[in-house]
Amino acid sequence: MKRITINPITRLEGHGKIDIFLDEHGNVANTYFQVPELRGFEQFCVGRPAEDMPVITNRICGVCPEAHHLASVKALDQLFGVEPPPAAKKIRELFYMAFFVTDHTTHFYALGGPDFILGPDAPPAERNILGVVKKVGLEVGKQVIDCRARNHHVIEMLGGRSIHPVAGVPGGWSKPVSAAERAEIETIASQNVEFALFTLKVFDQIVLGNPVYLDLVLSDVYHHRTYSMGTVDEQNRLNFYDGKIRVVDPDGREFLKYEAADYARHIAERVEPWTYLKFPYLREIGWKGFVDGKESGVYTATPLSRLNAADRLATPLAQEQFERFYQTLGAKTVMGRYQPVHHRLATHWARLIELLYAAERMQELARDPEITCPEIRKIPQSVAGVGVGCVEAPRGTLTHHYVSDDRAILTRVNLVVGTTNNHAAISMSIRKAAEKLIHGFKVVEEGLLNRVEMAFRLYDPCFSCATHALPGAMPLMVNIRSHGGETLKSLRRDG
Amino acid sequence: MGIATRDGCGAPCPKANMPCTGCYGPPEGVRDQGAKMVAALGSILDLGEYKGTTPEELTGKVEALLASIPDLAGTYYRYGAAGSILGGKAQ
Repeated sequence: MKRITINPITRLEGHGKIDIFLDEHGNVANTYFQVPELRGFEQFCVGRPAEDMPVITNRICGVCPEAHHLASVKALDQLFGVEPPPAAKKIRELFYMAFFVTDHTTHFYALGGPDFILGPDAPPAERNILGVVKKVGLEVGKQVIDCRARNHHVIEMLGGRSIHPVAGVPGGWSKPVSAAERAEIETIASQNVEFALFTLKVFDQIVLGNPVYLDLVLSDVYHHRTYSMGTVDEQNRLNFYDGKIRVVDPDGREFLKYEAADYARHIAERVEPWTYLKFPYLREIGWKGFVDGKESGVYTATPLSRLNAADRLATPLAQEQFERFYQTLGAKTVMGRYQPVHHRLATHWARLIELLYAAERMQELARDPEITCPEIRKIPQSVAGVGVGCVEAPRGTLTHHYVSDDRAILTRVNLVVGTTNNHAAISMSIRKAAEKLIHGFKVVEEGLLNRVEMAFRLYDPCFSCATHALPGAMPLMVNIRSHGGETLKSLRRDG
Repeated sequence: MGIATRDGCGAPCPKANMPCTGCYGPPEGVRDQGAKMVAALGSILDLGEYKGTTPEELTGKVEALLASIPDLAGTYYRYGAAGSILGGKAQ
């Protein structure tokens, strides 16, 4: 048996390793997608005062601290039994939309986009953010950087700090929005809408306008029929900050809709001995292994599955794109809603539609007269002792679950992080890509390996979050091993 | 924690109405930021009426105050515990 190792894999946040085992005929026998780190937030947070959690858990990640911050304060609202005033909820959501714009922008231009904009076979030295800037022009590169800068400015204005925000408190928010700040945020939100529309145009031209890429998107290699998860409001429209968790089956019928607090009744976690990262699955269906279909409890929580789980989007321009998305990909309707799209590479497109939605929603909130209301906090009076907070992180549904004693000292912490939801699906996508692309000891070429990597990169995985692990350096290492595990060949390139 | 830790951040957390947690670590010349913080707090702790109390009762009051801080190390050394206060290299 031969063994191909891709370690560490590149252009994701965090650290992962792919092992591909070949049988005696040189075909793929098995693939293991491993996340080899453990950080242990769930352990060392026990014994801490609960109100520290929004500031501790946002250190899980430097990319999406805002998501952890908000899931954490929502869990604290429950743990202390306080309902934040309406203005506080709106400020939280406004803050979160600024974050979504910058995060989704980063993924498209820096992480996932290079595979398309430069092509999967472009040399790795060019297939990165600098290559993207070279291809789409310096002016666009400047716009990307501007977009990130202005939204981080908003995050800092609202959250106190631009990387690890501090303003979330149980029962509300620590700082009101001034009239001047509101006006500035409104201007920035309008720029974001323009930028999102522009980015969708770039995607149209480069990906949808290129038959080769379109074939790749629609190819069987990146196709998986799983359940889709996302958060929806009372009208079943997508919402990133609040709502109920909805799961639709592979045919598009609603399978579950539940309050975040009930997550443990619906989601179970499987542990495999070869990786630190757990595999959540739908409890009612059960774990049937790494297989897709209606009989398997595997689900995904990604931009694609969020669109699949929602009936529509709440903002007008994003809704237009939503319609176009499903019509272009040929989705039929069932029970008055589009059937899910299962072409995983379409996740990149879905992410850009979410980018537009976040920009439009940010604009709406910035124009809401209540956003400058000074009543932003309800002071907790008691300790309920249990809290579950859920938000849609860019990479999937994020759940923080805390249990405390009567002094609000934590006794138990459970975190189900965006990427973790997709762990089984990521493993399956990698295996499928490897099976389709490696036959009979065929020499593993650069573009080929990258296509295997594309299978996970579309999920925008964040393994530093998922294992709550520190990222390492990011070169790519390939080990091809013989039947007995002896290394036949070792290839290495820098990330 | 700001009174016992390094500044230079521009105090973004207090400006957002949130307490400083000391993320810049100990200032130059200070080996033990937690001890400095305890010293700072010690001078403003109010034990209430202490005239006529026995040493045992006084100790009890101090103990009760300390017990109200559930995780001393995690509070006073949140970002600095990973750095050795002993200095030097292990041979």
